Amino acid sequence: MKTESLRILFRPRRNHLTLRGGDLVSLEQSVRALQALGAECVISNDLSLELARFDLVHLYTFENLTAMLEDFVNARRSGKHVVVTPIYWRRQYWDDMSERNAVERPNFDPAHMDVNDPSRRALVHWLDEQADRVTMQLLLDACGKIFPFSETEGALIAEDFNIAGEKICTAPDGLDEEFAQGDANRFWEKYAAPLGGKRDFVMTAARIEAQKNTLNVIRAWNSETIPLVFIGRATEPAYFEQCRAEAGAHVHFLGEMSPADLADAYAAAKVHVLASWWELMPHSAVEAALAHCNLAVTQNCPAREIFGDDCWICDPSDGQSIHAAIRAAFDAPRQTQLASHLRERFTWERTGKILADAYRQVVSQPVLPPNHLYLERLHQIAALRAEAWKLRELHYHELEARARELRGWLRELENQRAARKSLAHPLHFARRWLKRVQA
Amino acid sequence: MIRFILHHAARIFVTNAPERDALAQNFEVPPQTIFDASAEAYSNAYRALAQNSAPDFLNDACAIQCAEDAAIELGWLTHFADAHYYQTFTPRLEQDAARARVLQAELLAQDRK
Repeated sequence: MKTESLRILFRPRRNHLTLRGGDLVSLEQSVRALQALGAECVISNDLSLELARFDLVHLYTFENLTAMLEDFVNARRSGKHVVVTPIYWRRQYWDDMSERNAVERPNFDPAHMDVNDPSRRALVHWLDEQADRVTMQLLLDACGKIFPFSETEGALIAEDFNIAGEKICTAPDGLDEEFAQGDANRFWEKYAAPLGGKRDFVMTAARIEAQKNTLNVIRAWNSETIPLVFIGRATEPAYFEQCRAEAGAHVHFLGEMSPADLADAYAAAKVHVLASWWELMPHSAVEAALAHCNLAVTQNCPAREIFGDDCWICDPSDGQSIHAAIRAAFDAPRQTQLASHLRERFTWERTGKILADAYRQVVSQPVLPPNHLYLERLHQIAALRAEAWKLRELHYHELEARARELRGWLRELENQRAARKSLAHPLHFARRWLKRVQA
Repeated sequence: MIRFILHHAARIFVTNAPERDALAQNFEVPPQTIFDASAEAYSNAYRALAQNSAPDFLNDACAIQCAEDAAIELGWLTHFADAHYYQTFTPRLEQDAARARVLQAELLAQDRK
């Protein structure tokens, strides 16, 4: 089949319109590259869409596994080939995920029904994680091709889910040249005053949130006076508050920026730090590299595969390691060769060709009917979700009971206040005074 | 669950025509499995079923569809319940608790005067 006659339906995250992210940039650029090759591409979450006119369905992002399973089933019932861009990385590094990542099933005896027992929550999280992992396994086994962004991600998928190598096809993202066209002077016109004049600084372009590890970066750099600039949206208000509370005077939060303004910031910065708990594809570090920033990057991403030795690696759980990486990147002369190396290796044209070749290979094969294992996994998912639901219900009932009690108390307090207000009325005061005089 | 039971029942008995239509329309129940309920219909059905072995669910396309529905529905159930309780219900509960604390402090202050 020629690329010109390929018709592909892309299924992005359900919240892709309200929460943009690197995955969506990757999807949109891949679509453009495929369209340039003549393929017909549609991006849609509409499950009522008639699939007959498509050759295959491309699912994107292991974010909401239920949504992805629903998209897969929708395609399967229409007899369509399915391929997956999972965006997978091991998450055991992240402390916040420790309950989900527990190797052994946490002990909790539902017979005791103690809703406040922390092991109840631990078991719910563990069950959620198991259900998600079985869903991932089902999708990876049942799809025709898997597209990791890097060889490193592909190796993790092969190892963690026992997937045959020939099914995995690395499709790295291309580069967006816009980020090489920034103007440092434009940035300084706006921000010289808040940053205390034109000077080298350290920046991070990423959402401000726990997974991006913003707080540990602030703590690691709090002993320095060199400005640390965060550009990006704060998605978790409580976390952002804590970041602001702990940040020294040299830390600046500039909010979200347009790609053009961000390019200007990259041009002005000396170092870009991305110390996330994990990153599948360190998009902002790649963008910063195009603008010749030195890079401090988390060890939990394919940094060595992409940047080689032209970056400083840090352990996101270790403040000293983050500090050392930023400091070394800051003290080193500005890198000049990395951008051209990246340009040689990563282009959207190449991404489009890799995808188109893989699609043709998939559609040349018949769509296989679901096997025994597929049904078994579905039952496992349902059983895990049902058990997690039962434990959740315990907590929900407790919340409802607490809400009822609280509403009753609130009503009582409001009645008391209303009663006292009416007693304080001048007429009541006069009546009480009269009664007292008469007595 | 209803769909699962309906699709795996050997015979379904209904008491009136609207019920028959509703089952056919809402759950795509094959019309040949729907029968009007009567003592005679029941005894005929039992006699017929006694002569057959149980269906092999595992190879049944319908069993797969039901398992898919169950896995998806349960996933959404937990997803939306979490969204409701943690994003809407709990913040409102906390607001109510804060309001109660303010009112209580106000009343206590009045008592002290």
